[in-house]
Amino acid sequence: MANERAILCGGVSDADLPIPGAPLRLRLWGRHANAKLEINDISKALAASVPPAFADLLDIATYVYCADQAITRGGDGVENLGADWRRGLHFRIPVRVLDLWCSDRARTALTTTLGFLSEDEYNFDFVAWSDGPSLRDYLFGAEAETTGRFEEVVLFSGGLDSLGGAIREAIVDKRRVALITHQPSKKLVRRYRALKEELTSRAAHPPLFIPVTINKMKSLGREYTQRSRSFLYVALGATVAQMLGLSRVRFYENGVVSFNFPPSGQIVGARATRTTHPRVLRGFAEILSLVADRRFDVENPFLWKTKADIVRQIVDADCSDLIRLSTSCTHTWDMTKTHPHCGSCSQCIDRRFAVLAAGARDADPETSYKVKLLVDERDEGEPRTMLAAYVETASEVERMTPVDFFSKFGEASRVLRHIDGSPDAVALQVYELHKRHAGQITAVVDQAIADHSRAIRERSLPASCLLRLVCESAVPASGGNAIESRAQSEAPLPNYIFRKMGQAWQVRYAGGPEFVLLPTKGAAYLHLLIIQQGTPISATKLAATVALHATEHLLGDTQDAEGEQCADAGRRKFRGVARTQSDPDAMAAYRARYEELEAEIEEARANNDSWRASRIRGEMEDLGVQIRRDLSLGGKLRREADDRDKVRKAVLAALRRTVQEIGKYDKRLAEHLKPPVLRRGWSPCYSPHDPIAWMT
Amino acid sequence: MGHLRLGDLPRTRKWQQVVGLIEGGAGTAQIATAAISAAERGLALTGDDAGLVETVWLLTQIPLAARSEDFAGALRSAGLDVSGTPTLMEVVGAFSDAIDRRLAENGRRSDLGEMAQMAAAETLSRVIGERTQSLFGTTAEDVRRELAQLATSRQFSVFTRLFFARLTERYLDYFLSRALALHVGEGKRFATLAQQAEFSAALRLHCQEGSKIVEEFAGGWFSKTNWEKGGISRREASGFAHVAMQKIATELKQGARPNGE
Repeated sequence: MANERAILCGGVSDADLPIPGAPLRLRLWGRHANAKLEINDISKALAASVPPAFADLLDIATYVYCADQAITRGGDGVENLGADWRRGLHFRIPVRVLDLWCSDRARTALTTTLGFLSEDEYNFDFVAWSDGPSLRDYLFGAEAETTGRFEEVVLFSGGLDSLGGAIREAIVDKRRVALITHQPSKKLVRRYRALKEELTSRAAHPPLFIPVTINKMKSLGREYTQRSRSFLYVALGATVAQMLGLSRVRFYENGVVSFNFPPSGQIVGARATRTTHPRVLRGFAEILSLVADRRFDVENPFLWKTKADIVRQIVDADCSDLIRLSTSCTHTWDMTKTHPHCGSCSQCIDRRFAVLAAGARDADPETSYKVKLLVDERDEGEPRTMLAAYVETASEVERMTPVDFFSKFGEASRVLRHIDGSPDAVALQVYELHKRHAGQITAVVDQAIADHSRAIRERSLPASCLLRLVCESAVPASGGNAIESRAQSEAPLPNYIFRKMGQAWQVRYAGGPEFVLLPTKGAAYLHLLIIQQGTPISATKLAATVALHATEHLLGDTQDAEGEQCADAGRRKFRGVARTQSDPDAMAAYRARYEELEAEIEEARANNDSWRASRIRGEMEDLGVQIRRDLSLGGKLRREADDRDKVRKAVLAALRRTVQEIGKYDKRLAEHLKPPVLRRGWSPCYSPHDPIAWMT
Repeated sequence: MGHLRLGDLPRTRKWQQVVGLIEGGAGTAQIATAAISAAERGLALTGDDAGLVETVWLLTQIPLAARSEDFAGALRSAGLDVSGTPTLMEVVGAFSDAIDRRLAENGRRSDLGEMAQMAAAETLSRVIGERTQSLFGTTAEDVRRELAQLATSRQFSVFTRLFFARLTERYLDYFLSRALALHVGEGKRFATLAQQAEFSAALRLHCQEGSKIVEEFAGGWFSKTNWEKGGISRREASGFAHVAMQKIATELKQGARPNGE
């Protein structure tokens, strides 16, 4: 595995690490602590009844949560098919109840559940810890004793679904509930407080809010995907449940999000979160049952509801005014007082659709979204891809039969045996839930199209807004940049085409396959030759025409002096004149000097002056080298490389590459473009045997 | 939707060419050819991918199990944890869980294996669901009978072709979906989402055509290997998967050359 790391927790030894490299050190306690867990507003007295295994569970969950954020996934790993995305995490953790955590059942339950949850490979090496802190040391803030009988522990994120759960438990069913909340961002504190006050004032039995905070060093926050976070939340919920004498924890999340079937082909595995996937919840229940040494359940009562169903329940409970206080957006960094929702992330899109589908648009003002769902421009990249995938998936699912559905969403196979009931009954419910959800989404889109029909017809909405993306344009696209859509071109294509289409070239030969050539110089040269078939065009002229066209294209219509200078520079480039390497006068001087030296060497030899003869011979050799270098084989002065020759070679190479590229898609055309039809040389010429009427 | 992680195409020259072809309005076949060339490195791993190998191996075991007298027992021997009278949905769920369990033990999960696992579950649902006329409430005997038919040379060929077609489509979409949505809108390649969907449908058809080659040899390989060796091992499944994907890749490349050899 490419992306592996050892994680040493709580100051354990680094001896015999399973993998090389510097380990990540995490510590919840002591002088070197770099992370801290606080469970607030609950009485320390309640901790007395909690077995030490729960303190271990909190430690393990917190360490897993911190490591998940501290070790990067190295991108989404598209080039190596997810090798970087999946990490190998080797934990060494001190625990109080060593026998439990070293048992095969506990280890298997942990590794398989977490492995499915985050798609990482987990390895745990547990070591004994006799003097670790107790659970009481995690509890803060409650001076008074927590009293009363509680019936349920619910994980409360402050989002729309968990708000629906809290309303159902505390207001509709009038139950006594403890709500575990986690506040990841200070920006949310005010909204949480307002929600807390409203729920407290409306409930028959005010809920017990138990805020949890995890503070960690900044350097530990490098990976934002946080796929394992629900493990920490369920560990916290279970510990509180144990303190309150309960054996169950409830998540409230709509089924479509729980299943989270990928809406796009690029989303593979846990790139779609599995936070409350039925299989994960069942795995959590198994871990908790081992820790508690009795049956412990983890439930999601909203599994068979869509988000719109939940909004309707909130409205029916006369709590629609609380919707605006809930927060679904994950882009907290983008959050402002006026725009608590970005409107672009998947959660914002889902929320807005749900509110509109439930007919509760007044309860959640559109102005609170930075980008309006239906009519605002979408940035290129993730915001547009996300919206397109969401809406297109809904349109597709709405038309699907059960066979279509299960042969499109293989992920559904991972659900069938992890929900109570027969696999067939579960499959039917999964299908019906998604059909209902798709129907709700498409109804919103249909209604919006009806409401904005005039704006759509007049094309006054932004081009990248949702309504423009789903509606056929009544008028052909304007502007010279438009690339003809193949679906729009109903007329039969001519048999011979070589024409510009946007930046690329559309090509068809003799009624064969139509294909596209990417913009290259070679394609442009070939285009010129085809236009003037039968006429030789010099290579320099071809190159100059294409270069000039490119320059003018870049300069646009500006005719200022600077533009003219650039165009002139382009033209001059191709007016090369070959120069000789030496001029004739220099060559004459070399020869005269050589003859002088010949006379001098004769004289030196006659005088037996060997030292002078050797000096003269050296000079003659140098001159000889120079003369040989400057003369060609025929004895004429050698010329420097000709610029025109360079241009000719470049043009012919570009043509050759283009014909090779054409050969990938249409061998007949590549064959056609061989000599003598396409002649190369100084003046290439396209000259078919019979003239061809190309559409150019 | 829960949180989704989206990404970009690799910034290599070959992928830039694919983007250029999408922009330039190239047809499905040409884009598929360019994409399969750009993504060839991943395909070379098919024989070593634990997820793909396990998937293909299990796909060979299920029809054989359906031919045995104790259908449920034979499925359990292959690693599928099923009841005594498994329905189609139960088999599909157990199939997926068996692969997950195996990979959790061996720890070698990859995107390719993940795509193969999903493609197999989808193909099983499609093929048996259409033959039994329903997905829900099928009897164990209906399911056994239809799965047993896949053990014939001819039927295994058809089934395997559908599986590899779906896998190839998923594989191409894994990359192309990162680029296609960026070319939707006025003045772009796809004027509307509907046109983008048409392109995806055409890509599906193209993959089905490209996978025909598997149909030509899959049945023969299945019958011969099973007969000669008394069963099919993971190693043999690995070799078969590798050859099949390589042949499809070659076929897809040639698919853009109707006049080619």
